[in-house]
Amino acid sequence: MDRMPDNTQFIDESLLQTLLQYHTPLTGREFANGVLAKIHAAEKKRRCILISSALLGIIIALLPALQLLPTITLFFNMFSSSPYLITLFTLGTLSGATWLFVSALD
Amino acid sequence: MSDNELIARIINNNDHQAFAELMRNHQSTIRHFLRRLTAGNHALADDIAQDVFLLVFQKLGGFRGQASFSTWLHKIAYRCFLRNQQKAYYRHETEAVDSVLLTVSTQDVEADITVERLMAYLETNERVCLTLSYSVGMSHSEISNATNLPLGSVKSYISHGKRKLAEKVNASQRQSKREKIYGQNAR
Repeated sequence: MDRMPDNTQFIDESLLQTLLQYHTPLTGREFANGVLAKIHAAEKKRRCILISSALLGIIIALLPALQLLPTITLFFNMFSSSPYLITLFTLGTLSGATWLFVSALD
Repeated sequence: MSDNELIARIINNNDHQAFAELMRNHQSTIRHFLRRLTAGNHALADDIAQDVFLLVFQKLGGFRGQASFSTWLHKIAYRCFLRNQQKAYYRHETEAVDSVLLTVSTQDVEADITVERLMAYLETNERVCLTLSYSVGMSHSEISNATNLPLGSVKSYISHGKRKLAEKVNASQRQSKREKIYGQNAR
């Protein structure tokens, strides 16, 4: 008696090779342009962040030189009047720093 | 220009033209690979492929050259695919795109689409291992390196995948034979 055909028999190796190969090359001009546009946008964003960070650093560094130290002392003295102010200031600073860090990673 | 020369130019000079050339050399393979993994969801595959090349541009400095650039690229593509696989819209879009793609008539394109549809019957790891082995031409140890799967598991996934494909191919061959016979009898 003939054996029933077995569905689970292994497929012919050469057939599998032919079947699974990539048959048509995909044209990539639009694709590549899309990726390059995204890279340009990301680099522009990173440059903006770097410039704003540098400006912020310069301003902070120049404040004492511009003899605004008493004003800054006054600003920090505000925190002694209410504990909520220092919490708000810390949260704000942390959020800003996190945003800068995440943007730089993007 | 070879991959290594292009990579050196990108790292040293931030050369976008060199990156564009590197991308043109590899985009077809990576997009095909992702189309197989997503079982024919071309839109999703291309979205992931864009993420892959963006990531490659950022991480190219970390490429040590221990494996070939192609292996490294496929490793990143596989990781990006796994990250995207968690998204809810994944399965719905696969079906929607399939029906549109069937209207394409070129024979070779149809062969690609057929394989992509067949991939839907396989598990993710079986798709990855079979594609990397038969379509990309990687050795089992290279696949193990690219996917972080143990070598034994890679062999097992390839074997299971082949058996499932054999079932589907044999079934479709029997079906077409049956249709031919019934067609002749009807005449």
